[in-house]
Amino acid sequence: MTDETPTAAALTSPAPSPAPAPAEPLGLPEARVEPRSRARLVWLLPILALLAIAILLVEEWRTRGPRIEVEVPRASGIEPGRTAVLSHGVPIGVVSEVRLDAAREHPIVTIDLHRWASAYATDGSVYWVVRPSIGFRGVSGLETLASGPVLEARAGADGAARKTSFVALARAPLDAASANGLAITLTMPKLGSIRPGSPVTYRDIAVGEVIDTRLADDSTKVLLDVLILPRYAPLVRTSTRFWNTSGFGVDLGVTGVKLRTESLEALLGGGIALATPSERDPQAAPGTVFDVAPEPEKEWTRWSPTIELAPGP
Amino acid sequence: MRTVCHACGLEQHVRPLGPSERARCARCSRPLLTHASGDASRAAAVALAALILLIPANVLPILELEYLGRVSASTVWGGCVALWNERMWLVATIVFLASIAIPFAKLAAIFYLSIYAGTRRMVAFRARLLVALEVVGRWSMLDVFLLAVLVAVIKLDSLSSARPGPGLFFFAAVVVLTMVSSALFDSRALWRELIDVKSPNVRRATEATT
Repeated sequence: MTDETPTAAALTSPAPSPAPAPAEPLGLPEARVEPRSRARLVWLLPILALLAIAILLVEEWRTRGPRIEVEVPRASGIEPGRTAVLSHGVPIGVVSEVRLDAAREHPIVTIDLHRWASAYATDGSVYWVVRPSIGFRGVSGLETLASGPVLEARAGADGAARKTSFVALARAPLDAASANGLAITLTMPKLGSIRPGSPVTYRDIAVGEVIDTRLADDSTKVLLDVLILPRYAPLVRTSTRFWNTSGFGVDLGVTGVKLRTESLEALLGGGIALATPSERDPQAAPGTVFDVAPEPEKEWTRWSPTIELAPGP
Repeated sequence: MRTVCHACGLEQHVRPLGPSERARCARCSRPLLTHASGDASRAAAVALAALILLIPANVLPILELEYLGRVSASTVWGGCVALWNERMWLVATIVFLASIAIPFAKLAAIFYLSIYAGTRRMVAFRARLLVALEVVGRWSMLDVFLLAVLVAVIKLDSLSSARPGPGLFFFAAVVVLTMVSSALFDSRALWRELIDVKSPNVRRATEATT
């Protein structure tokens, strides 16, 4: 007996194996023995588990939409997994990654759009960052004070080409619902007090907005990207004149002193006015470039063409 | 063979059982013994189901915290990483081991041992694995983690709100299935095989007693 295990030791039979079966002590009750069903049903459990995972994967696949990248001016407060992407306040996706571009100059925000929101990954879609801001145009983005910034988006036109890389607007467009207004470019010798968001007015009515300001490639002038609301797009003709309404001028003449300013908002925030000589000139095409005069010529303010506005609000 | 009922303490005799037989206590009718080769497939099936569900339990957020309007979803793995980045290396390691590594290892071991029960392959290795399982398995603390999460869900103040994430349900399922599979797992078959391989004369001796 070389194998001394407890079981073997417990037997301690003096006789060499095979040990004789010890006599059963009398008086012990006999346990009931019954057939036991083989467990087949229990294998349903892993199958159910696999099924649950399959359902999850299908659901994930069904809800996952395109992945897009948006270059934002500043990424502070934008956090992966937390920052919402909204359209009219409805979540259309979530930020999945924030990183810098290859030149390490611009933050790039990667967004996973919901599947139903794939229209937001088309040419013409616009994105901008909503932060709380207080300006001449009032308080905006107050709801983001506690939640941190959110990205707001507007979809491009139906059937537009797919696009997955965007540059966020510097600020919300004047009427965010109409990102597909008439986009024109204005040139000025210097920027003055014009800022992104400055109004473009016709008879002191805001008809559009300065979206972005930048220096021309040859640095000889300043370029303004301007968006005219679709309804007012017919006002802009090839012969339309633009002038700067920022600041004020003082005219000294025989009739006395004349103070010339447009509105307090324009005085403080800067603005651009436009006038059109005749309704017979063709409408301006998108991307047309106009010069901005420092001040209006006298006759511009007397022009009064009859122009039918586009239907809409 | 003689045995004592775990429930009522009655000493009784059980005749040798066939592979598909089960003995019940003569007095209280509780299950007393099954055939030593066991019905390992039950434990294997439950362990496999738990292994499968461990994937969504760890990938999906178990907790969605909302604080002042911003939502953060956290996974177990994300929690470990956060602790690690907070320089709480010891806590991070313990959470990782107790909530991810050891539960997975334990279930995998139960599954492996159950699948091979009744065969004679690598008996020595399996015996060592079984001992390791009993030592390490105590550190499988999915349920503690689950409790901690639930406490967080209930206790948070009104400024912030916590919702159970979809991962929590899988997590709870894994906890239950792990308990069930360890309860079903029967190590007797393994010890019997070990005796068969290592010391045939002991086997004869034990057989003689039944």
